Amino acid sequence: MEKKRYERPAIIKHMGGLANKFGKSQGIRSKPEIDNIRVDDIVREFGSPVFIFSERTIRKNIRGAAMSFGARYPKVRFAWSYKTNYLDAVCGLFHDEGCWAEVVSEHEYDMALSNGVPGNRIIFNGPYKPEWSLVRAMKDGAQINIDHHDELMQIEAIARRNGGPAKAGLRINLDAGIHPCWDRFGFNLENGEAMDAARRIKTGGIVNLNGLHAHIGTFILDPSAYRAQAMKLASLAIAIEKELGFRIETIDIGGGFPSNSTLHEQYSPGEDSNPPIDAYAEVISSALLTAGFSPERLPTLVLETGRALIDSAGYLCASVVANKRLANGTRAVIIDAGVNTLFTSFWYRHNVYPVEEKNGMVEETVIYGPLCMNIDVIRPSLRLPSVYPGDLLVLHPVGAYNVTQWLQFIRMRPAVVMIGLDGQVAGIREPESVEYMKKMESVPSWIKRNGGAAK
Amino acid sequence: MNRTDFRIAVTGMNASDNPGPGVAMIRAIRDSGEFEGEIIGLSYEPLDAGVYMNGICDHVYLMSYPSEGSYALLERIREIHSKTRIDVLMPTLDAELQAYIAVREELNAMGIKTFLPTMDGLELRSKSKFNRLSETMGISVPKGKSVSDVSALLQAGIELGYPLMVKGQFYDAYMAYSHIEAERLFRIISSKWGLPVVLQEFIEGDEYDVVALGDGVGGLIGAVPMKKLQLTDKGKAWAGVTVNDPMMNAFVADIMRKLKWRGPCEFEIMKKRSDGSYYLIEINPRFPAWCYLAAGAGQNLPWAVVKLAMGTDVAPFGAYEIGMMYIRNSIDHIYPLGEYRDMTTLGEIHRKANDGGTHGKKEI
Amino acid sequence: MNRKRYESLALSENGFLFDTETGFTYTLNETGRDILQDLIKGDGPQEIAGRLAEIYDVPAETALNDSTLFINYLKTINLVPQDEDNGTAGHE
Repeated sequence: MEKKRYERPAIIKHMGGLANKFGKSQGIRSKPEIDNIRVDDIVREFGSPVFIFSERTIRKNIRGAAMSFGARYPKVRFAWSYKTNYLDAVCGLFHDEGCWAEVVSEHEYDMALSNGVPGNRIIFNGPYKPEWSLVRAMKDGAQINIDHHDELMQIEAIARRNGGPAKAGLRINLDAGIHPCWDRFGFNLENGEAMDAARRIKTGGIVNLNGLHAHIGTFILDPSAYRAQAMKLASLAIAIEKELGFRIETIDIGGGFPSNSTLHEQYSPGEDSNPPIDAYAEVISSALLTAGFSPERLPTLVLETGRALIDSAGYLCASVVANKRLANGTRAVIIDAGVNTLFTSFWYRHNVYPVEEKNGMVEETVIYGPLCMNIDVIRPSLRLPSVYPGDLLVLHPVGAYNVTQWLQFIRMRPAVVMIGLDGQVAGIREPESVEYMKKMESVPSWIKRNGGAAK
Repeated sequence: MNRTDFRIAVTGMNASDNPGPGVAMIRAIRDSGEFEGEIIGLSYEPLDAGVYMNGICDHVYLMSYPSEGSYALLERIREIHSKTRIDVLMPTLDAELQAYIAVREELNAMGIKTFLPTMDGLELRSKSKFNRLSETMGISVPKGKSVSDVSALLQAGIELGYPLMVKGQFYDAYMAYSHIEAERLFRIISSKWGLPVVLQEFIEGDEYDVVALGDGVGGLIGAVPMKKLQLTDKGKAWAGVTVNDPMMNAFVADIMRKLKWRGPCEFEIMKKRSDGSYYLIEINPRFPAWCYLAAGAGQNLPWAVVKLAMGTDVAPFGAYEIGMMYIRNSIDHIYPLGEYRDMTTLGEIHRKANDGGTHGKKEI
Repeated sequence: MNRKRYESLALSENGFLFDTETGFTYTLNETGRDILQDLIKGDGPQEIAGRLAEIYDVPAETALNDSTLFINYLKTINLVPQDEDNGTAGHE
């Protein structure tokens, strides 16, 4: 006689209607494959946990965004935001699709150069740019966006030393009708600081102000904030051109578009409710086109979109380590990837897909990482079918910020692989080892290494 | 529509002192005199009272919460449809509408008809964008601001003045008399209904509620205004009466003309005490729980929705009976544990033969 | 062991459990129901695990581990008597 399919025994107490086991399908999607490649094969070769990036999705996302803006505005430039994900393989794809590099430190600048991006295709932002890095960027012809007065004076001094004119843009902060209002970067628009800075540049007589840049926030779900931003930047550009005669060639609206991820405080899943990139393209383009620029002097629209282009291309596959019950009866599952690896768990409710199809009763569950730290929570609450140690779970979308913000805390950082267009799978970053981490350290000679043995 | 195996699925089966509209809509459909089919109740909680009431549902299915998203929703509907074929589906709750609208095409392809608002319409009236209706459409609405961060409250409070209304994006509205109170309400509402939280200028006056049905091109199929006579401690109407204010009825028709709303809705209208002007303070994108009053007053709007979903022309209702009153009541019904057992373990109840799934039967 | 506790557990075929003593209701999945049914019948953990392995596609060892954990959990939520044998004795 054929045996019945086994499901781990389970019982749920009825409280506020949380329990049900109706039917087979309860919206628990499984994910056996990514781009037609079996996830368990990848884990077998590269270990668990493992980040998996899809070349197909990266190219689809950037082409879609370029199309979305390009169809509405004639002069558009994308610059890949290095801090969102600066794995060389990932940057390489964006540069191959025509993106410039947007960097916020001299290290990211180095990475862009080594990825073959010429200095004059690098946008150099951020509140701290060491003097030598400014000297290099000015020599390379990079687009430097000035964050504060001290930096402006520094740039003027360098230009005078070099004996020649320099060009730079201004980072502006403004009220786009949303909160929090990021006023710590750049010069404020509403209180006149931005216009004053432009006048100051004119008086200095050595820097040519050629661009305006603002970045209003992150994961902004209301496209109309960008309409306000684009309109304000455009008015400022026109005022500067009129009063000071500078030609503002670029209006850089920064990043901040949402991916299809879901914030903890969002009710509906992001994939259902977050506005598509078209909605942002529409308001930004129409704001710039109707701002009053003469057609032959339309500025180039620069986008530093990061998250919206890479998040959905990244997956993390992790293994179940254990099941347990908390003292209050809540079901808990421990997986081998923690918040040190998946930093974005603090803000986002990542989708969790079992790799194998799971039927049967689902139960409210908390997913913990493997760290011996109370804060190591991957999902505070989700409905999950019963799982066994060794079962694989795929978390998605996780392509943005994780492989830059991750840290070796208690556990090493795992391998990263990429699935190519043709289905080839290649490691793009090795898993770290203790040797790799300890290579940077040394122990002074006066410290005895007796391993805790008594003296 | 008068086939005995014509089936209408309706959500919102909770029937507490803060009820969903499901039971009222089903009663209206059954009262139409043109319906001989079966009703499928779609319930989110095994203890939803509408599931158990006599003469309401012929079949019941348990659903997963709308916050699970449109994929989970579609899978569940697909499964139900394969067991008990659905002809018309009527979602009735704010929180589920977005997901239903997102899968409308798929439902239609499965042979399940709906008459829903458009996604654009839903966006226009979303509480966080509501205050823009005055500039974009010329509809008189109170000043408002949507707030995603507690730090923005202070500024909004200065702009709108106190008292002001603090509202969740789907449900809940409270009056705040001070910044401290607004901050407390912000935290309560955002933890329940997510961000943004909406602040609205308080208009002092008399509130009226209008159940309405729009044809999607600016026409009004029907509308019945009601004055609440009694409120529960949660501020929900417990009794009400139909009224006739020609100026307000004109205001409603004008809103509909500008908004081109498609499907059921409820307008909450404030008549300002100081000058008698009308303000639209909220649009709910579904019928209210008191919509049975509309049928009682001569405009069977729920049944009209079924007809529109089936592609039948519906002539606009003209008049309605003025001074028609409703009073809710609460009485205890006695049930054996069996149906509750079926709800919690199987997630379905059948009171009529269940042989009408798309698997078992061909489309007629 | 006090078997009286079991008399108040009304367990239906489809896994609905009504505890007549406390008024709480529960849902069990198929294997959970099987285990509780067997406990009510008076079977011990070894027999229960053996039967699971017979009916379901599961190795005997997993069946024993799972039923041990499950019986433990039923104890912590006070559905079965504290002195019910959960099978760990057999491991000693």
